[in-house]
Amino acid sequence: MKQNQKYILLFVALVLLYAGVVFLLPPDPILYSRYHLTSAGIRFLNLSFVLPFLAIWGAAFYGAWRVKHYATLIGRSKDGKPLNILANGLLWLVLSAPVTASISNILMYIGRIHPAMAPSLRIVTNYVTAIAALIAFWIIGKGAFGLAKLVGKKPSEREQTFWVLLFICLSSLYCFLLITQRSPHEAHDPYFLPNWLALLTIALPYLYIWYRGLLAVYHIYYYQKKVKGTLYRQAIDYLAKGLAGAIFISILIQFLTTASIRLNRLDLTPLLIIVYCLLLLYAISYAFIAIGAQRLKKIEEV
Amino acid sequence: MGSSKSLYQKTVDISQDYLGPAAERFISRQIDTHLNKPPQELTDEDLVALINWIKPTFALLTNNRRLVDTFITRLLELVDGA
Repeated sequence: MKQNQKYILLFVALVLLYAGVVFLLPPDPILYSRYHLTSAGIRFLNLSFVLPFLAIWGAAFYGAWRVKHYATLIGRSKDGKPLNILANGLLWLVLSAPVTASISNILMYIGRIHPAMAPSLRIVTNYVTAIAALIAFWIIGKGAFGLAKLVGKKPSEREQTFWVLLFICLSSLYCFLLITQRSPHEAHDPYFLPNWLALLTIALPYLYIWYRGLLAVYHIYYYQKKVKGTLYRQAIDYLAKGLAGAIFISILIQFLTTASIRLNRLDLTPLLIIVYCLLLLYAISYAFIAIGAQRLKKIEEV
Repeated sequence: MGSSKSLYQKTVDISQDYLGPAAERFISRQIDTHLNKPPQELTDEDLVALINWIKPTFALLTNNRRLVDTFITRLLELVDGA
């Protein structure tokens, strides 16, 4: 229980750090002219972003924390170990979100004060975000593989072909968008790198992250399909769907990043709609994870 | 091969069809909490009392009455076979 309380305290501290960074740093002056807003208007806009973010991160943390709580409860059993690894990956994914968002905000602010440093700071932000995701999905993948191993993982050729084709399509589309949707010399370029370096150090790590994520979804789905137990399987089904949602949203966010130059040209309303839709989907995914973990935990409590 | 299994193991085997890997923990907990004995010492005489505890407990996990009834019927078959 003490360990679980530590996670709660850590989450609260990181969220407060993010809120502090957003509200204490002066807003980007470009926003005043682009959206015709006053200083108070910018603060209100920040609040309208930060509050949903806090709510969504809270929901995400609750989902990951419930899985961790359940995994701790069944610690010594054979399904306890892989579930614990999976929970660690989910917690890393959730806890790293406010950290990377804070770092991104701080570096963007430094970039505004020292415009010459802006491209380098953007590159650092991109790498920090990629490394955090890489660690999270590597751990999640390891936990999911451990679960699939429990039921004797032997994927059929048809299923394997489906996943490989899906991944090839996704990779090709992402690399195509990354190259064609950017202008390396524009101020709003998301990477500030030549194409070959962006492909090598941004696209390649993200493709590996997605490969790991999609494989994790497949392994959990496989475990859910093969494991015995009607009620247990129903709970794992929620977990698998939630995890699949969280991974697909992560992929979607990266796709949107490649199109950020076009997004920056949008009006405020469609931009807010896109952000809120993503946040809503993210919350729904973690709600599924929380329901799955709650159902699993209930079996252990009666 | 089936007959060489202990009564406890047979109970766990049936429960696994409903509770998966959580079945062994579930049955051990019910025996320990309600019968106050180690799971491996489950006897034919304890079985009816155990099933009487399991029925309401399992019903807390699902609204599917048919699932509860099937599970309990299968456990009661162990009593008839004992």
